[in-house]
Amino acid sequence: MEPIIQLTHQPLDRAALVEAVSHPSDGGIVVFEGIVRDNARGKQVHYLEYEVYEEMARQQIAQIIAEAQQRWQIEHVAVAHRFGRLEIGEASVIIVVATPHRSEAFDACRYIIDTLKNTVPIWKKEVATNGEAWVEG
Amino acid sequence: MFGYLRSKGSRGRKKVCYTNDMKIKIRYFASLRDIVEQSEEWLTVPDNAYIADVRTLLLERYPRLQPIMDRSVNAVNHSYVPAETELHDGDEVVFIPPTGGGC
Repeated sequence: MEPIIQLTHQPLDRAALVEAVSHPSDGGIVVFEGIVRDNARGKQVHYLEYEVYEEMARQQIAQIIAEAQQRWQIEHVAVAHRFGRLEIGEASVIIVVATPHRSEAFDACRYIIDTLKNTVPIWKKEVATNGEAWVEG
Repeated sequence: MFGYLRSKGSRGRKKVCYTNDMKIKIRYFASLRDIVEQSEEWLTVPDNAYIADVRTLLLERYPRLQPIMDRSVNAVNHSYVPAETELHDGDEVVFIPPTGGGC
């Protein structure tokens, strides 16, 4: 199966992503969902604004998935990231990994989210009570 | 600027001095876009310019970029590259500030 890579303005659809990744040969599915929270470093956050360098982000995500697939022999993966304005409680990122056994699914999912944060050209602007700022890391 | 030119009737390459220019596209994202107040522009640079030359040029034009450029890495045509990468006509160059994707 070709990995699913979604970069979109629209709200992310967790159920559809899980459905797309599920396979009769897989006994475990791990879902990581990143949510916009209302506080950061002691500030009250109003909302977040995500910006993406789309062509490059797509390419970098494909590369991360390929690395994970090589390392854990996983076949069924979906990575979705939303951009634009996101309100508190909305999902910014969803990663779904389905594997025959649970341990590879946990490890691969963790690897994908950690690497994504470091290398995929996506930026987050925090709009808080005391002004707005691009967040690094 | 020195470079190699293939001249008509000659099989080999000979070193010549010329001052050809080329155009590259710069795209700005996040904090860089806020500072330069545009999301892209075309720059004319000498043939065989390196990423490092473009950095210098941009810092002359937008001195306020300095702190964020120091923390940015280079991308050409959607791939990360080192500063000593040579550029070609029509290349898309992006200086990538620290990313913050995920949650």
